[in-house]
Amino acid sequence: MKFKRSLLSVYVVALLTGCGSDDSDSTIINDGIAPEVSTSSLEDNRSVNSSTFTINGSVSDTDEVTSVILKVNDQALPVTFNGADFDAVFTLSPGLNNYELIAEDELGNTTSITKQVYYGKQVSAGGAHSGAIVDGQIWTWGRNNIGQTGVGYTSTLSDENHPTTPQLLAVYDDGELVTFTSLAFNQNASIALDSEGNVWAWGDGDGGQLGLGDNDDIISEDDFYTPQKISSLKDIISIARGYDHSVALDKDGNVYTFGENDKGQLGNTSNEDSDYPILVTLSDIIMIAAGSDSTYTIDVNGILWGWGENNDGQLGQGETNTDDITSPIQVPLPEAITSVAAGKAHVLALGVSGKVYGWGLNASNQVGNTEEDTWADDIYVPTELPWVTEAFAIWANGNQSFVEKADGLIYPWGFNGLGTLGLESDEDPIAPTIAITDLDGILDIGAGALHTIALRNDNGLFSWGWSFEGSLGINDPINFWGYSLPQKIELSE
Amino acid sequence: MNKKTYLLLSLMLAGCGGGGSDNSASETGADTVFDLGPAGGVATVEYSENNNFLQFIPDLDISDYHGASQGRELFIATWSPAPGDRDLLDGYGPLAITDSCSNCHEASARAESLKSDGSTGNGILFRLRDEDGNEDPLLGPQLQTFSEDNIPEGTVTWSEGSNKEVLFHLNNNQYSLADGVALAPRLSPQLVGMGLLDLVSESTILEYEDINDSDMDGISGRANQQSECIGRFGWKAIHCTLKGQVAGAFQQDMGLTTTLNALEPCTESQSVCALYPSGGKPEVSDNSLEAINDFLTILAVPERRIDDESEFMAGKALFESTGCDACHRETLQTGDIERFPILSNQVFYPYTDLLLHDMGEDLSDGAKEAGAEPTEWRTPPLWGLGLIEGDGKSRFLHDGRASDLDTAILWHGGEAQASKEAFVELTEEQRNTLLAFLRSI
Repeated sequence: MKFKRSLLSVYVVALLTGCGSDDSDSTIINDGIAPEVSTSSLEDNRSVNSSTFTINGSVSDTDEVTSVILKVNDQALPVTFNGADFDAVFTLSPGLNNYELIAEDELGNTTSITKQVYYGKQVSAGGAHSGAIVDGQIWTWGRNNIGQTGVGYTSTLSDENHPTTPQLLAVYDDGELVTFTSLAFNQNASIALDSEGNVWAWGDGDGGQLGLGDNDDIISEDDFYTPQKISSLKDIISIARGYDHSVALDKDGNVYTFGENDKGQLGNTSNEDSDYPILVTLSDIIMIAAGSDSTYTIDVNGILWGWGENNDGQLGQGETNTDDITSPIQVPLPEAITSVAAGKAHVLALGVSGKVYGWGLNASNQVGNTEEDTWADDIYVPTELPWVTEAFAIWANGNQSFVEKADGLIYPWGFNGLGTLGLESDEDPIAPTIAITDLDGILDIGAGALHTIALRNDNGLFSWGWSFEGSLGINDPINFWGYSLPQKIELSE
Repeated sequence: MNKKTYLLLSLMLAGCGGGGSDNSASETGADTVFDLGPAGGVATVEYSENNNFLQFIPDLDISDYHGASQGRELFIATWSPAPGDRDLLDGYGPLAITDSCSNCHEASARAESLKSDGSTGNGILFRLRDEDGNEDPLLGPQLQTFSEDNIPEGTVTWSEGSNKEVLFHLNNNQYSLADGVALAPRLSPQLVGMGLLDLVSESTILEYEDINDSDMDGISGRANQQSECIGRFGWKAIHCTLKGQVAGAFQQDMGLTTTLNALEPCTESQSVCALYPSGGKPEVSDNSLEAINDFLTILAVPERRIDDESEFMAGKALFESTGCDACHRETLQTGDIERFPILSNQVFYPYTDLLLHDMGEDLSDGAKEAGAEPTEWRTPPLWGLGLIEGDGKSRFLHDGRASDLDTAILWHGGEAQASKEAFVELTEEQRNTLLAFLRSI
């Protein structure tokens, strides 16, 4: 079951041009041939992390194509169309979004393509625990010394009830089973977004990163072993986690932060931790992300804002400006960007052109390097990565980077010492030039500190990297062991 | 893909009708036309300079690996004595040869066997049996060169004999082998297509059996019939299945027990196995054994390296006219494979009949093993040999006496005597053509 993204348009074109052209009945004026539509869109159900979704493509026909209509949740939206090419932008709701493209020619023949895109993270991985959303329900597994899997207790691998393989978390709110749309795990804490716009948090409460405190001077740092609803957040559409802080975006484009603030990662000009969500002075934000102790947002104009730790240049302000920055500052990029991904101290940004930029810590070549080793260990300004010209998506965590190129394959680079990159080779790739064997049709990647979870278009879940306390979700895991090749994770009934 | 797309697709397929065939013009007349399928059927992987022997079948989806990824880790892992840090990987020893499968089965070469300083490496081990098949009463059926108590059964050095054969010397201050018990050397193979060989039906193997040489071609291959199955793995075809071979290696080479071999490799006279803790009963779980079996089953076969197809076919013709193919059977075929359906009914090119042949006194090792006489050897597969020849450490024949393929051919005797002589009588150019063929398969 391996569908390449290009197949859809290819088949449609083949059908319309190949079969229809043999029609010899010349008395019928209407050729009966509907417009051909091809789009650059992603796999159905594909996860995206920006609330703004752009679709573009082209139409052609033996007759003039008169209109292209976009319908999202049965509502028609404006499309920019010049008779051949079209593009449209629409705002996503958390979870699955259906949209339909309808092209009509002057004779009334129509072609319709229905597709789906998923707004949110369907898989996520922390220090050594992992999670996936399947049919709106959360499955978790892995390290559970602080209850970070949310199963209701703490445990270690030697315990019989340790969640070595995926466990279903049934979460109830006022007696109703909660459905979830997005996960953000990192280090030993977890947050999840439900379909009502509420955020749930569990695991390590250090620094107030679970956001479960009151708006007072007392910092609540309790750990929680099951998901707890953060009562102070409403109408949230996206979540992200740093190592000790958390980030949330609401439907109006406002950003909230909570947790540790020693590097200014909460963005409120202070260094005081907060167990209560802080509204950051920013507006019209469409995407959020977090490095270990820094935070990133993209606004509607494609401008990247960052704050927090900057000692490795992760805020991209140049070699002479490496102090922590406690409020949003613009990261200089040569074009509008559509996505941002942050590792421990390095950052990747995806431009509208499909180019990828990287900066920050590069000691493991997680930004990239040349054979001649000409790239420094710290890269202080966003730098175009010459190995990628048309990227579809980027992911990062720890000292690892992943990019999906136009061929639909995942290319990792950076630290590979513990099987972290899913490659057969034990060497650390210095640039995204080798694809993870056979891993295409990816819907989402959850990059953890040293291990990674992938979701594929056949609903297959795969893991690779550092096996510790059941992080990979497989039976009989070898503990303290790097698994270099993807393994299938089975969900029990 | 959504419903609508499926509909479009079916319309297209129904409407357009059958596509034309894409057969290229068939050439006729010349037997130099290359007409062989991929070396390992669907299990073939493009040749690369590194990691030729430990790559998964490219066309196999990750979802269908079963335990292979886990098996890979168990295969490359270093196992530790019990109790170890990891339950899954302990139980090594107390008697053993080495602590990792990959020490003897490397990714790109044969492990080093005959070292230039006269010592022997991981790439060779020694059975201890006499010509009637009796094992050494104290040391058992195989020499273990490592012991937890630091008193190994011995180490082996080698020297070259007057006829350029290899002489092995057991260094053991405590003990001499029983009378008549030979140090019977066995080079460890590189892993090429072990899974495919495992999946060949016994009836396919028996197609080439000719115990009484009823066709009078001088070749009388016989299947090494075990109590309930036909042996096919190992230099003497002592194991019927890949899993049996793996379990045998776990026990005798690594001191690891399985449900197939529940005992440590100690004889009743050896106390060391009782003195050191066990890593569990068994030390290698059934799941782990199955995982390693899956791993070995889906290792891909490197594709042939051919520069000139007509030259290749000329070499193949010489290989056949000299009679090499009477034992080095070109193709075998798998049956219906439930666990890995992709491997079903695959024709592949190992160049072995998996049968025992009498190779003459010069190649006798003086030991009878699992029914195979001292002069009998299972035809070794030839695929992939060119990938390791000339790498400075890989050697050939059971004891490594040949460091290149032509020397290996010249040691052939017994049933292969006529073929060897036919090879010698070729012109130098013909010999080179035949060798080039061997190196490319």
